Amino acid sequence: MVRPPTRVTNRIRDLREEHRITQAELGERLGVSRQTVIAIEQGRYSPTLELAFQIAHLFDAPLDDVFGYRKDEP
Amino acid sequence: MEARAKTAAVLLGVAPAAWITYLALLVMRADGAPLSTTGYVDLVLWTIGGGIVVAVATTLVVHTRDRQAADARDREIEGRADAMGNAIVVLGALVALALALADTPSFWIANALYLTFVLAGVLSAAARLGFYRVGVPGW
Repeated sequence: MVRPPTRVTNRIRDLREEHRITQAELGERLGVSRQTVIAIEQGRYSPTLELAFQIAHLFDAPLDDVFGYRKDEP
Repeated sequence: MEARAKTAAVLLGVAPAAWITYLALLVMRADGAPLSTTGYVDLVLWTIGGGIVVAVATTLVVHTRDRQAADARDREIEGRADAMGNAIVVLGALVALALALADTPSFWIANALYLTFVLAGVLSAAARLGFYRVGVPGW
């Protein structure tokens, strides 16, 4: 499996499903495109700190619960 | 494919196509004579102008269909791709400067700069396309 280009991981997909929000709706609320939401979910794009906080606030969760950081593996 | 990725894919082909057209027309016009003594200015201007028109038209058509405004990811991709293209422009400018200092005929200086623009456009468009398709690497 190809490793995503960013080490930032996230639970956005799970949180989105818990809150019954589609990618398009999330994008609309955040002011980004649906493709950007997909790219973040798939680890193809690390959101800016501001966008990360917006996402966490939207799900009413601490930043640490939404985002993680993958350490280097040997 | 995203609208901006589609535009990048088209632009990836436009610059080389314009340059190859220029070379083909120049060789035909030279008709065996040395290229550096062949009139090239109008060919450069027409092919660059044609490339710009095609690029602008493509961008307008693609973005008319998809009116999504640029977001943070688009701006980051744009910035990084432009920076990569600009690096090539700087290198090309240095080559052109060296040619000028060496009193090289203006034909070669102009062509070095034209090739620089083509390579910068190709690298920038390829980077843009890659960032959209594969992802944006962390710093």
